[in-house]
Amino acid sequence: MTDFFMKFLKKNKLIRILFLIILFNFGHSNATNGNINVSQFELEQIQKDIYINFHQNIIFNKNILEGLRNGIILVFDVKFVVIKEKSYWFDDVVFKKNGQLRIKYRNLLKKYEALNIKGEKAFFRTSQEAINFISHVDNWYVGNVRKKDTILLANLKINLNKNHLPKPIQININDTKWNIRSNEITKLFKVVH
Amino acid sequence: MRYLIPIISLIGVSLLILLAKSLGNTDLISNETFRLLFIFNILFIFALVILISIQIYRLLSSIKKQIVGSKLTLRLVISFTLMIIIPVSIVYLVSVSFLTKSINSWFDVKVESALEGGLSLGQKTLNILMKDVELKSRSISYTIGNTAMDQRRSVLTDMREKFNIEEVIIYDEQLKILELSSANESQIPTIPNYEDIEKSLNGFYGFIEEVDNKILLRAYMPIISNTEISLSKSFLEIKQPIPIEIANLAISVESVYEDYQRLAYSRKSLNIIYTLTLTLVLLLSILSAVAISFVISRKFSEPLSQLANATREISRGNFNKAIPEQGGKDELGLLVKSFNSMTRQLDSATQDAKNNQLRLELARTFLDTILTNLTSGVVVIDNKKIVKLHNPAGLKILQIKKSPIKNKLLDDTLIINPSLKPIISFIYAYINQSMINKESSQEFKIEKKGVDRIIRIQINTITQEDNLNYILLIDDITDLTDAQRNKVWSEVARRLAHEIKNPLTPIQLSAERVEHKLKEKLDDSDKNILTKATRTIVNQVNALKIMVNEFTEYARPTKIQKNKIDIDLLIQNIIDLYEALNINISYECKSKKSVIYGDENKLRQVVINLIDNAKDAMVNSKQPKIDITIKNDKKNLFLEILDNGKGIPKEILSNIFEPYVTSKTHGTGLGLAIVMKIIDEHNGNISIKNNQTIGAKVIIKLPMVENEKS
Repeated sequence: MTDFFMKFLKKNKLIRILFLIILFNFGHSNATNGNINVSQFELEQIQKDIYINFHQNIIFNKNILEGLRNGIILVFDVKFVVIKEKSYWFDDVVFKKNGQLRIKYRNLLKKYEALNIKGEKAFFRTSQEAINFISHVDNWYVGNVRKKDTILLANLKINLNKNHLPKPIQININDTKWNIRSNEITKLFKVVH
Repeated sequence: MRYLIPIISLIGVSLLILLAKSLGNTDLISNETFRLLFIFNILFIFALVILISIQIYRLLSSIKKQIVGSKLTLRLVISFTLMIIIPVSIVYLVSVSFLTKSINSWFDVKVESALEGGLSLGQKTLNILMKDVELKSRSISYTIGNTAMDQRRSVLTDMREKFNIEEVIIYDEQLKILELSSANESQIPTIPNYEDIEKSLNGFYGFIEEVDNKILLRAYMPIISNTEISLSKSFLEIKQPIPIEIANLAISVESVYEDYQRLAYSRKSLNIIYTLTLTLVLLLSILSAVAISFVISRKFSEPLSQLANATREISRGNFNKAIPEQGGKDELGLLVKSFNSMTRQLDSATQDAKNNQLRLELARTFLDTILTNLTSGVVVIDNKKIVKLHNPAGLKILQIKKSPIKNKLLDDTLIINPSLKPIISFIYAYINQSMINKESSQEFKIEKKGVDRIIRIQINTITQEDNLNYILLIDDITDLTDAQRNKVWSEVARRLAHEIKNPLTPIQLSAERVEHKLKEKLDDSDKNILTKATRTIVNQVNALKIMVNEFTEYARPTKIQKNKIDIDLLIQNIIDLYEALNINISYECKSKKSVIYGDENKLRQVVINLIDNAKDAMVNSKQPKIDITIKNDKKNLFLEILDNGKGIPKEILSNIFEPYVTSKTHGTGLGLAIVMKIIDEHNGNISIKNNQTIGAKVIIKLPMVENEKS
């Protein structure tokens, strides 16, 4: 059966091309757009508690801004994980912390409502102000560490949570403009007391 | 493949159900899962296309190879496919059209206008309330601005209560609270945004915000007095919540409007998704149906294919071809059962026919064997004298060398020996009914190699399938007539010997007595006459006695004492006897075996008789010579005696072995008859023929003793 399938593919160029297109589409759909750029990612240890600071440059294209104005709520998941790397086994997750950032346009108020990682809500006249509000994350408590002199790996990832988008947009595999996510930011740090 | 297609179809249906489920607002299937599901569906469609392509390829190959039933399968597949494609396509087109129209109808202009109107109404209400707050703010600002510092608190409280405001605060330029009046004393005031205060420097700055699911109107204004505006001195902050009923209604309208906006924004995606899903459903339905149609078509056409195949096998003579009965109780099942019953009957009938044919063949072979081994000739001809059947003996007797003569005309041209032509004439006369006396049997004397033979022909008539056929029974009865003649001669000889021998002795004695009695009484002349007459009588009686003895010998019943005899030695002994006679006899034994069972005396008599005959035949020869040779084949010994005498007259050659047949002036003519009798008694045979140049040749054939060497 496999031989026959391969012969069939070899014979029929059109089917081979179609097969490659499907594979390409499958791979392409999983590619990151990388339109959240995280900078100034810092960890601060106060006693055993870990706080992080970072700035993110969130770039929305015209369509997303239009969607925002049309009532679409943009919710960003911030996932922070601290792991202890192991050479010959799975890494240990020391702790992890999830947070959310949210922007929505309030038609009634004619303002952008922004919710930062600490849950503070603010209203802005422009989308950029709202974005700026959620872009800065300062002194976000993420967890605590106990073992001294341990070298840990901090991992930060931000992405647009598509589950809050309207269902048709969620399942429209052709619509990739909502694939907004940051690259995975990692940083090694040493635990001190 | 039979089970693969239904399984794949089942998987397809499951994928479709999952896909349809994922379209709803369920957490069961995530977006990524939906994407995978969608790709799986496409891959599945691709797999179905490949599967169907393989099926089509196989079907076309089957048609090319002219496999029975493949064309029927193709027709059924095409029919099923058309039956599926046409209604499903119509449903698809109607569904897509209906869906698109339905989705578009959700976003009716009236609905949108109503929602926008509702939202606008809410906004306007809030603006009115803000205007009211502005007026109140200006009034309070003006009043406070013209109130002495020590009375500000009471005035502020009075005016807050008068205007029904929740909270009024006076800040200085460092945003330090100078005065505060609040309906809720326990509520901690929030720190104002300096930017907002800056914006109020122009006179008034108010905005709407949502705090703890309540809509608040917050306004800032510098404190105004009659004399001066203390821009950098103090600011008024007023916080006024919207009435809860109005707020809830406004938020509700806003929420609905946002839902509508989101839906409207994703309308395009909605159309695409539903159309894509419907297209997937269409493709999956059609492809699954086509794939299943292959199975169903095969199921339908299989019994018919098997029937056609079995029919072809039957046409080739294979009657034991049975079609598996798979328990179908429908017309096809009945047809298969009937067909199998028919083939069984045909097989049985064919087997019977074969058995009959075999029996017939055996009977024919048996008849052929009989005819082949029959010494009588059998020839069957039809009324047109065409030979229908004959046996080798028939050809041999009629001396026909043109073999085969089946289906040939039996006429003179087939006959080599002209003396046989009367037989053909007789057959023609019988068939043509031109004979006066219609005798069905007749004997003919023919000449074969200088020897007369008697052929008897018997014609019998048979009718077969309205055709008249003639069976010619042809016998060479020469040996039979010879045997009968010999028997008659033996009887004659025996009676003659008996009747003649008895009076011979009294005649001889009487003659001698007459001579003895009268001899003394007669004168010399009479005496001489008497003596002469008496001697003549005695001599003749002696001659008669010899003749009677020979007759006795000829007529003597078989009485042979058989022993092992070496013919080589016997011949040598006999030749020794003739040495004194000065006859040139040459002898050669070419046979390594020369022992037979026989009576030595009788065989010696035979050889001597034959040598004597040869000697007598060579009386006038200048260089008489007798050549004796012994040869053999596998079973028989051949003794050949060849002379260079005058040979045997042609007229007696055919009956040379009959008594009283001789070419010699002396003798009884019984020698060769006795020789033949002795040879017959030894189960051999003897033949005499003239040589081509001179002399005669006698050949005696005697059976040898097996596995013994002399």
